[in-house]
Amino acid sequence: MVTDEALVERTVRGDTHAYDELVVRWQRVIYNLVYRMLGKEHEAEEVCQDAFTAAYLNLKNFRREAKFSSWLYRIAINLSTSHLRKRQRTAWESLDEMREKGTMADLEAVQWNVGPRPSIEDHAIEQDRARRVRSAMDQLHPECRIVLILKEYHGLTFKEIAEVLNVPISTVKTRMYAGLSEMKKRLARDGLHEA
Amino acid sequence: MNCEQFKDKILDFLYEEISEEERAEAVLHLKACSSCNAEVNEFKLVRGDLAEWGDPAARDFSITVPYPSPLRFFKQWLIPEHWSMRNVMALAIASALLLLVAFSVLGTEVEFSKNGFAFRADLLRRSDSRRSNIADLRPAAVTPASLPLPSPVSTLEPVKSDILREVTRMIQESENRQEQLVKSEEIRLVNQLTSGYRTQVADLTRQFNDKHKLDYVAVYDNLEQQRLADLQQIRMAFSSLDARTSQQAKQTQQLVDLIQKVSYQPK
Repeated sequence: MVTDEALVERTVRGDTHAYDELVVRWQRVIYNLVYRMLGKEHEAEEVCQDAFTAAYLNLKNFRREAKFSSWLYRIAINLSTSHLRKRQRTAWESLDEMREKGTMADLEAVQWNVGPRPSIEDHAIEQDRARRVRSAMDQLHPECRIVLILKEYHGLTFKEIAEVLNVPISTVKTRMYAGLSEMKKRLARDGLHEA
Repeated sequence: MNCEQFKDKILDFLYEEISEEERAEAVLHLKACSSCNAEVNEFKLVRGDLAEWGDPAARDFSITVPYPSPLRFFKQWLIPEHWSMRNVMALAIASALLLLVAFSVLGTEVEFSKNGFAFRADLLRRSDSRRSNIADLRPAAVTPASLPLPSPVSTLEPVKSDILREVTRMIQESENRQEQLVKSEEIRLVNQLTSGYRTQVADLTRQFNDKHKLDYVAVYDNLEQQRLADLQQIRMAFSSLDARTSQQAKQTQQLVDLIQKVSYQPK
C-alpha cells in the first residue's frame, strides 16, 4: 500500500490522482471528526470539503517531519473551530436582536454554549443514551471536546494529539482530564450514571 | 506510588499508555487507595458512555478539489511564488539581452525577406564580409587548385599509387559486374516481354475464335446446303443424260439391226 507521504510527493509533483486517493483514504475519518465537532451533517460536509481544499492548496507548506494525517487533522480542527466561533457569533447577534425587540422570554430557548441541537427526527432516531452523551459533549469547551474526540473516537495517542494540536503532551492530558471530569458531572446530572 | 503520583499517571493508566512497571505500581496503589480507585472507575464509566455515541451514519458525498489547470501548474512550477511580476519581467529582459550578446559574439546572421527570414549561426568561423544573400552561403566547389599542394618529398607516394591502382581495379571490377547485371537483366526483360506477347496473341486469337465461332458454323451450314443442292442438280443432269444416251443407243441398235437385215437378205 502506498504511504500517505508518497502520495503527497506525487501530488506536489502535479499528480492530482494521488490526491484523489488521499481524499478517498481520509474523507470518512475527517468527516467523522468534523461531524462530532459540529453536530450537523451538511455543515460537516462543507467543512470537510474546505479542509481537503485547504490541504491541497497548502500542500507545499506541509513539513514532511509531521504525518500527513496529523496535518490534515489540524486543518480540519482549525476549520471546525472557526466554524463554531462563527456560529457562536451569529447566535450572540440574534440574542442581541431579541433583547432589542424585548422578547427576552425566548431567551430560555437559546443555549448559551450554542452547541448544535439535534432535530426532532434525530431525537426519534438516536438512542436516548447516545443523545445524552452527544448533548453533554456539545456543551464541553471545544479544546476539551476535541481532545476527547481524538482520543476516544480516533484512537490517537497523547503524543499524536499533542502533535495535531501543536501543544505539549501535558496540556493534552490536562484538557483530557478536564473533559472527562466535566463529562462525568454532566452525565451524572443528566441521570446517566451516579455522580 | 502515592496518590499525587497516580494522578499524574491516571490517564496513561486508563488508556494503557503506560509501561508494565508503572502499570504494576498503579494496580498496587489502586488496591490500597479507594478514592483513586473510585475515580478510575468513574472515568471508565464515562468512557463506556462515550462509546455509546457511535460513528455517524455513512452519507455519500463527494469532495471536489479545485485542481489548477496544467498551464497554471506549469506557471507555478516555473516561477517561484515569492517572485513579483517585476522580477519576472527583469529576468525576461536580461535573458533577451544575453541572447543578443551571445548571437553577436557567435557571428549570427539573420536576414528578413518577403518569404520569411533566414537564420545562420556560425559557431566556428566569422565571415569577414557580411553576405547579403544567404543562398550564396553554399560551400564553394572544391577545385584542384584549392586543394593543398603535396609536399615535394613524400614517402607515401608508393602507397598512394598502390591504393590508386587497387581502387581502379576495384572500380573496373564493379563496372564489369554492373554491365553483366545489366545484360542479364535486359535478356530477362526481353524474354518476359516475348512471353507476354505470345500469351497476349493466344488470348486474342482465342477471344476472336470464340466471338466468330457461330459465324463459322452458319457459313459452313450454308456451304453444305449449297453443296448438296449442287450434287442433286449434277445427279439429275447425269440421269437425264443417261436417259438420252440410252434412247440414242437403242435407236442406234435398231438402225444397226435394220441395216443388217437389209444387207443379209437373199437376192
